Amino acid sequence: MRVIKYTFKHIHLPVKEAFCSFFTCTAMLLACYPAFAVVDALEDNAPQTERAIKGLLLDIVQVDNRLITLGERGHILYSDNQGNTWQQANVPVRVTLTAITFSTASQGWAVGHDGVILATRDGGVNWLKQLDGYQANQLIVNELKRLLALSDEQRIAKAIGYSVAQLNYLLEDAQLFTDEGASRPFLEVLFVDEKIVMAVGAYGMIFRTEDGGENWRPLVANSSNPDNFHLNTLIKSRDTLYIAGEAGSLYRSDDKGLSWIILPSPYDGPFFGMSVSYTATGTEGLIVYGLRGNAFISTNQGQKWSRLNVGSDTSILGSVAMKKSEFILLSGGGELFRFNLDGQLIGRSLTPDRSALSSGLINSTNKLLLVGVNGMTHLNLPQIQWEAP
Amino acid sequence: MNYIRTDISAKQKNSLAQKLGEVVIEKTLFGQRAIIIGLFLLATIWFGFQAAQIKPDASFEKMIPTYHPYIVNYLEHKDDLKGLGNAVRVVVENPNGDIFEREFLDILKQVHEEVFYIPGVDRTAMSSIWSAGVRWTEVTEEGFAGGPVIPDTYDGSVATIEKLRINVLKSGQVGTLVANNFRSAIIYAPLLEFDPDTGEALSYQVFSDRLESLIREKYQSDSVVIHITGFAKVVGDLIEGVTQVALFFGLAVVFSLIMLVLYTRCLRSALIALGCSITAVVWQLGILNSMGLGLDPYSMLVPFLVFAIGVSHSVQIFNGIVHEVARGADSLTASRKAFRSLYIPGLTALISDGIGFATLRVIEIGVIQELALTASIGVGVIILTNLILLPILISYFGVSKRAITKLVNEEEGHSHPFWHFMATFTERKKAAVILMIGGGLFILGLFLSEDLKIGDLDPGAPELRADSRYNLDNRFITENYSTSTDILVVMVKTTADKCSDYQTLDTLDTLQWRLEGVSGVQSTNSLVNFTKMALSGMNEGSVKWNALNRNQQLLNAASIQAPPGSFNSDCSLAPLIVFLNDHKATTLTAVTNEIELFAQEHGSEHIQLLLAAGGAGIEAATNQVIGTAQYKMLAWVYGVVFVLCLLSFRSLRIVICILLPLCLTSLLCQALMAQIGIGVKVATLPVIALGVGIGVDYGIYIYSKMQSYLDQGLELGDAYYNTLKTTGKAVGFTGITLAIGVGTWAFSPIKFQADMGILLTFMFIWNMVGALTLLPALTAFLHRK
Repeated sequence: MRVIKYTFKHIHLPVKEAFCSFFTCTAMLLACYPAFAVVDALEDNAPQTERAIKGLLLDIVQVDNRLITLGERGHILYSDNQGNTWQQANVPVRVTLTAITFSTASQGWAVGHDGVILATRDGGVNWLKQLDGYQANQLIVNELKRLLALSDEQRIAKAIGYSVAQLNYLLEDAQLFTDEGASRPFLEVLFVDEKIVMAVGAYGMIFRTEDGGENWRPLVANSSNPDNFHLNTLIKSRDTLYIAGEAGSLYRSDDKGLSWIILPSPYDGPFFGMSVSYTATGTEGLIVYGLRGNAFISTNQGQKWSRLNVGSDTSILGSVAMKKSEFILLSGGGELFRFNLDGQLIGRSLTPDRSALSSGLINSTNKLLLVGVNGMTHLNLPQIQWEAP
Repeated sequence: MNYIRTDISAKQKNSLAQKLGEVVIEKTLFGQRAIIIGLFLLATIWFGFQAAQIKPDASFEKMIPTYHPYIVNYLEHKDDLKGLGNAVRVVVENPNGDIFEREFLDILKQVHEEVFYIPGVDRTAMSSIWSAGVRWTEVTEEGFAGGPVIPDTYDGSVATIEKLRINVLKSGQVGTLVANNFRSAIIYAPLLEFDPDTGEALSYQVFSDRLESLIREKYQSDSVVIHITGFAKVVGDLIEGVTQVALFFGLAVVFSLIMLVLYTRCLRSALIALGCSITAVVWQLGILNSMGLGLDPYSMLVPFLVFAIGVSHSVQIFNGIVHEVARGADSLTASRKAFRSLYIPGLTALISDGIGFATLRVIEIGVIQELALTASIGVGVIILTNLILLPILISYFGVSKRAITKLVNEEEGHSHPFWHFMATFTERKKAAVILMIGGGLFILGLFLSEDLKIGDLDPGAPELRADSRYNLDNRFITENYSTSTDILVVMVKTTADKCSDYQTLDTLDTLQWRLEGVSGVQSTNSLVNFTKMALSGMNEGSVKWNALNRNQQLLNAASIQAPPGSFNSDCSLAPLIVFLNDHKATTLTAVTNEIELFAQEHGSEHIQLLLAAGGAGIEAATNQVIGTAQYKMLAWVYGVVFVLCLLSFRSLRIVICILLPLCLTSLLCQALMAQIGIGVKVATLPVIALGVGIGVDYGIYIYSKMQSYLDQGLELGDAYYNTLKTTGKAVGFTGITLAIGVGTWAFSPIKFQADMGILLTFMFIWNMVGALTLLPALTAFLHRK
């Protein structure tokens, strides 16, 4: 478990003060102050509030002329005027949502904490729950049991790389997760092709659907991740899919996500995201970034990586693709690092509030819209002061 | 107070009580004059000795309504809310640069150590960037890394100062312990309740003095500015300011002496009247001290009132004595006769004042109850000093010839055009005009008093003036730091070990989001904020993990790292801190309403949200108590006065004539408060009751005197003219003397004393005007021949 890996050996644990006597509440107080609990986050609608745009926001996309962003408490917001005003969507959960993708202007998916997958058919105005963490846990257990029931020959025929012992170990783990409940968040969702959509998340979760989400299926043995590392990002470049995650994990799939091969990794710390840009001549520039300013670029589909010199030790959490073969990396300290596809740092800048950024995009009025811990930040792209490296 | 004299002398002249009074009490007192004076002298020496030792006193708990459920909750969980209660902030500012300078850091360290050793500071909970417990953390590939903000290798070199600068940025203390502009730093020192050296309750005055002498005086220079805030400092400054009240007292005594001499034309009697009134104050203070009570800033007005009431009663007795002397009696006989005719009415009047003050006890706030007690004691003392001692003393010294001539001239002599004019107020035509004016004022009062607010209306410490050093210091902190000092704390209570449960945290999280939408709420903070941050940290600092997780082990692992005070020792209580923009009553009400609404909407047995701790929480409770007590108190005061008047006069019409002008005064006083921005609060609430209690005497004096003339067969106009010449003049004198006595307070450095002074002055004058104009006008219509 994560907790064990991050033993807090460096952390100064506060020494609790001497035990204090603690009074029980009198009957009068019980009468005055009824005890409470809120409706479960998976059963409760997202609260409608004008402040949603100022709360934690984690992802933003553009579909046709509509911008859609999402974040904490089930907040999904859409704008039809390039981000000047936002309307809040109807969402049947109030968990923190982490990522969003669209296949068409009307059809989209969003994922988030508690193993939630949501779908919309009206361009993001109304959302329905397709999967939650309880169902996801059960599906994973069932899938592992199914694989264990296969004969050795069948497993080899299906190119399943895990031994029976490994599968048993994974099953044990999966059953522990089931006991914990809907605890694993999905961290990324991606529309792949036709009706194929994929979602990846914590502790190695990969889910895939071939019918637009009518049936979500776990891929438990299609990638080599016996340690159940977090899978933090999933992107598509032309016909190839890439996953990056914890402990330097990097994978590639050439068959629309059914099977995954491990890529050589330039780093053993966590990657938080990937992005892809293309030069004018169509050369693919694959970028991966993560903890403490570690960022790398590859122009050969992830076979070789070269380091991007960010010049800062804050973590890179997001990126924005620009025109002219350029891209911007977004940091946990509100910094912007502008690179070209040759891997050269062109300039750096800073948001006014220096809060952590998660994602961003450039809208059709040439504004840079950034989302993060303090909600939405608008920057006028031509007016950004870029400090030379 | 002649009113009962006429009443009683007419109806009960031969009653047993009267006989008893004359025979036993009067004989005892006047038969043993020397012994009585000797006893008074001994008692005065004793009480004087006690009074000299009286200490200014202000305790936190006395100023709060300890029976209010909010406060009951707070006091019950006080031990688990350490560091949230009473603390002082010492800000060390570098006016010429930033904090990252060697000399400045050295001074900051010295101040930190100096504060550390001041008795009363909770050393375990104290923090500044020089505390080992103030740390920075960051996520690395290996896990968390961290250390004290001041590098272990700190030696004042440029390199280690640069390291310090980086650590400060990583520590999250910018805006909390370090100013947003890096030009100052805070030493945050929570206080113990007891002085560890003596084991006695911590004296805020001593503590505040030590802060001044050991910190401000010692370290403030051209290159270092010290700012200090905190409740203890407010109290210290209050007590310091309150001692100036002695000056105002001196002024009031001088004014009264001048007025008395002008009124009596007899220096001897004026000095005796003054001496007796001062004796009453000395006794009152002495009794307080022997009861183990101190002089609270809020009770500071009581000695003034005692003095003023003493003076006004002295005038009545003096009048009585001169009257008898004018008829040819010697001093002793005159004094005995005056005593005989006045002791029952005087006693009744003073008892009704005392009961009026005592009704303040219905307000369950310590300082107000103490004020009620001290005021009642003071009035009781006046019975002895001014009803007994005064006539005995005058029986020795006698009154001057000029006093007698003046009295004879006024009562039987030439005509007074002004009194004649005022006597026409009893004619129905003029009376109607006056009543219409009164009605107009009543409507105006209703209209203007609509904006009357409960609670404090100003930022900072509203007890002190806006430009006081304390409030300037407080403003410095608000302007340069992010954390508001107006804090309301909700106590989130669960069964043991459940404070970090998913359900608890999720409920708390939902409430916090709702509260952040309430106008006036700056931000909120609780174990939830830390847990989310820690969960994100445990997942390599990914912002997507900035959310609660249903994995309980993960939540426990995250919350265990929370800073001290985030939850109690058995994890059954976690404070939710609400930072507010200000402590205006509207803000507080909006927040407490939202929390209580949330409580009603969601019901289960596992989590309780208890209101309220923190300065703003306590103020919210105080406001609620005062909001309801305001009407309760008025009902009691008017109820008591009504009953006493009815008992004395046995006529509802007369009671109406006396009470209606008082009601107008009360209403106009509220209008005045609304218009000049004085809120109804602990300091101003008693003022209306005191105003009514004293004001009713005016009406009583006047009506009873007038009644006696009516009984003699005079027409209403003549009866009122004669009343004005005697009692009316006394009422005018008393009203002006009292008003001047408290009017000087308007110049007090303590804002609430100034407020009290302004309101009391207004009430004394309006009560007098009302009694002299509205009362006769009402009588014109209600009087039955």
